[in-house]
Amino acid sequence: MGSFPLKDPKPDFEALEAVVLGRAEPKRVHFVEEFADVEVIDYIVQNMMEEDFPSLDETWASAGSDSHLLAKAQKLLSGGAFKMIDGEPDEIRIKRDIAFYHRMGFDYLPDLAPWHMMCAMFGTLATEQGLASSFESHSAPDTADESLSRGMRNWMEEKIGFVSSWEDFERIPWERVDLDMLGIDEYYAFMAKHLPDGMKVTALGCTFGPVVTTLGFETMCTLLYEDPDLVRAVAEKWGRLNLELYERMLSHECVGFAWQADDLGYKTQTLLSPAHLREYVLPWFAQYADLAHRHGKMLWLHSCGNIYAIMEDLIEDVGIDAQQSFQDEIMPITDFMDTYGGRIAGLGGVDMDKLCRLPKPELSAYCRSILDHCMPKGRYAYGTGNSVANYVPLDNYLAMMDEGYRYRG
Amino acid sequence: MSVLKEIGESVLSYQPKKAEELTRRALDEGKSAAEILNEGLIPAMDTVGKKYEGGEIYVPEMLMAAKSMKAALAILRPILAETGVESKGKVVIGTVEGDLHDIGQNLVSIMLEGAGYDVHNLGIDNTADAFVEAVKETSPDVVAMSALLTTTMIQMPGVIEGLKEAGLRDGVKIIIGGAPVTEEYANQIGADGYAKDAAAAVTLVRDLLK
Repeated sequence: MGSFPLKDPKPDFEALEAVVLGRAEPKRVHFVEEFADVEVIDYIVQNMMEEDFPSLDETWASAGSDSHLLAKAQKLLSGGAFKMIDGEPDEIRIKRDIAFYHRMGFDYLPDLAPWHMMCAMFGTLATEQGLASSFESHSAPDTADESLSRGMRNWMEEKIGFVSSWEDFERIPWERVDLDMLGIDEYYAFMAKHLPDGMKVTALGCTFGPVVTTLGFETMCTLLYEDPDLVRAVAEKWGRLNLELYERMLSHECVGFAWQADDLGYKTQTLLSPAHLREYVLPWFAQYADLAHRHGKMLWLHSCGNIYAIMEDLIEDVGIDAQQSFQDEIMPITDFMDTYGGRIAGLGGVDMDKLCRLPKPELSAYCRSILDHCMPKGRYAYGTGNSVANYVPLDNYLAMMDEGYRYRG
Repeated sequence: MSVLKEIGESVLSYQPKKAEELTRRALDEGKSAAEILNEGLIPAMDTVGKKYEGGEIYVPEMLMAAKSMKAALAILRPILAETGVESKGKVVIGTVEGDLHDIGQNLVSIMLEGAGYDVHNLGIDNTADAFVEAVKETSPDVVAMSALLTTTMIQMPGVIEGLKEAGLRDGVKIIIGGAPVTEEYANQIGADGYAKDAAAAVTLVRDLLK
């Protein structure tokens, strides 16, 4: 019998914060994730928890979907009465998410909704102008286990985006991505009311990702040499929107920290040269870190890939407090902790490939080796190397969590 | 500076239009298409590969160099076909079934083309049967497979099995790559090689076809 969902979780965000900032030795293992896929949340809530949530139906299924977000964005942009929490489906989604993360032992609720809403507004406006990326057309059968499958998996368009010329850029009514319309205050009032004692919610932001989506990665690469001002203009738009979103989110008491989620690398390198990242991306990150710190809050980074060519920039110039997302093929969390551990926190690190493919006894031994190495160093919290994706076998995820729960040093 | 060196420089300084102009000038000056390819473009792309492998340049620079090379190749290709210049080898490449991420394999294709190989890029989401059919149709020297996810790379052994069943395995070298793929996995599934990036893939193909 596994330990999760916990019967009596005792979330303590302040203790997590103290560990991440190196102000206290960890008294227990703290769990971290950027997010769990909705299929994983649904399965665990429906099958392993006693809370009486309405069963999964069409209304609920659509509440967390892209089409639901876009419908809400259309309502907002057409001047209709708009609420971030639009009736029961949204309320249920939030309450279920809270129940899941609470019972799975987290000290905070990962939350992507305000950022998703901002992007949905942009996507709606760009599409209305006849600009479209082909994200939806890139889909293949999901490789997840049947019980967690979403049917089809969408893949990001890598060549072209919404904008490939100044004409495209100017067609987008950027000023209509008006964050005042989101009703952030009301949203967090609802959150504050329902979060259990000791839990906070994340303020998630993303800058480089939307720039890549707006331009398409390959188009962006070409434009860096053929029209760098256009790349700069798009980066400026998203950098500022993200800053404005953080300004609205971080002022709320229930928001624990800023989490900048931007994949800047791949297996062997950063996606752009360090020089380009320093020019177009990192100055924005520095502003986010400064803003978070002025609010007395942390800035965590989630970045996949080999980003070690800019790690000194991230630590010294940007001022991130923690890095999450590790791949053993690039740099195992244990090596990261040896190299950078005293200066920022390392978060997660259970390699996704191992999490998916190792038999449970080997997986547990591997997880234990990470905990044995990282916990005594401090400034460490435990979790996957990326996120709780729906293609991670559920038994393996729970085995990983059990190893963390049982760890006593 | 000779026109061939200038062509190489245009690739290394990411100037497609200049590469095109210089290629036309070189032909006007009596250089053969094979000379332009072997003494101008291939050495330049070799330098691009080394710089990329050494961390001196990144994906945007590689793509711009490739764009320059392709601008020159577009002029040379019909001439090369007419004069019957042989490629260094033929490669079939694609992502495996369920995997729709193709930047990595496109970079490998570009670097292989730049190194003088004939590349048949199958694109994304290829079943084992699609690989087998492509091998039947094109008789390549190498089959290259790519995957982004740990849950899609497990399609790779099926492709190798399909080639075995079709009696084609012994006629081709099989190489694999992608984010979750490792040397260990390549050995485990019976591939002939693994490359961590596009430059390493060119070196691997060269070594395998020696």
